[in-house]
Amino acid sequence: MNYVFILIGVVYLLLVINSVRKNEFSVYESIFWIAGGIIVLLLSIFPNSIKVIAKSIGIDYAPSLLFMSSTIFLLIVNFRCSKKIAIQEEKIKSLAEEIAIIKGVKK
Amino acid sequence: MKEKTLFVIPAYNEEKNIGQLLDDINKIFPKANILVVDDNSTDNTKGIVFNKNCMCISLPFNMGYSAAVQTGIKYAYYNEYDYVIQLDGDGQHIPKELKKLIKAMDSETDIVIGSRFLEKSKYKHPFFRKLGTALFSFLIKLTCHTKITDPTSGFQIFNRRVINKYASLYGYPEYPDANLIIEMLYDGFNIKEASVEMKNNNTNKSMHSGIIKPIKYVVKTICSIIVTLIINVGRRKKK
Repeated sequence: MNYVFILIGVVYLLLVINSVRKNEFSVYESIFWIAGGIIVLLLSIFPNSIKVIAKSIGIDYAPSLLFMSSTIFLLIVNFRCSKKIAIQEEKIKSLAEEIAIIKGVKK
Repeated sequence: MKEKTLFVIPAYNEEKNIGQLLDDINKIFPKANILVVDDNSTDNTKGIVFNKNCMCISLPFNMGYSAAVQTGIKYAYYNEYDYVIQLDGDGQHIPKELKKLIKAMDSETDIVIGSRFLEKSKYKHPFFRKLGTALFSFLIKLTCHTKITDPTSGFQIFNRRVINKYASLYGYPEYPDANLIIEMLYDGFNIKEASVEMKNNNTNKSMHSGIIKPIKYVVKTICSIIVTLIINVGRRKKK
């Protein structure tokens, strides 16, 4: 057990929960981040679990499992963000165009 | 042309050119409906347009050329115009040449593009843009088997069918060039070209000036061509 990592995990989870309380995430988003925080915390409390999981799926070097899973996690987060931004960009553009037209033509 | 036609002119900081352009249009088409879409200019573009008694829509913030064009097209859509004539606010397009476009427009044709390269013209094209134009022209030929000599031209006239399509198009591209032409060709629209003269940009601050901007423009347009092709994969030209 490494107390530094546990501390990091706890701080991270608190940050996430605080943000959720302040309604800074949507419902679905908050579940996503809380789950991430719990996993970080669990892994820092039971570091050996990584080794066990890695071994069971045939990964020799345990930390690489950690890297891989965090990369996948970040990839998913990024993918979703990128998608949302693109959709919002388009919606904002469309709104602005409509607003300009509604605001009217001055002659 | 008896039908309702709207001139759509996107303009960003064009106080030097827009007045002359509007005068020229009014001289040739005295009763023209002219709509200038002011892309949140910081200069007196809007004031000049008002003085010339033309319609003006102001975008709430600077949104770029394509959004300005699309806003004008949406306006045409809501007000049920039959044709849109699109020309740039920088004075590069000569209103006199419009007659050639209008002449080329018939019931079979959806879009007429004013081309600088259909016949030999005096227009001096910067090297990078020449390269880009040739590349896009080639890509259109490759994917749609249609010859478009000047796919980057914003000097166009198009009919109600196209207005409907553009107004409701999700993701109207940032640079509505070859990518849009390819999409329209895939969708079965008829595109024709008419040879026109154009002025070389007189103020030298075109939206594609410099070295970085044209490269960015070519790369972005190629990206959107690729995306257009991915979206349209398996779809045959409906002709």
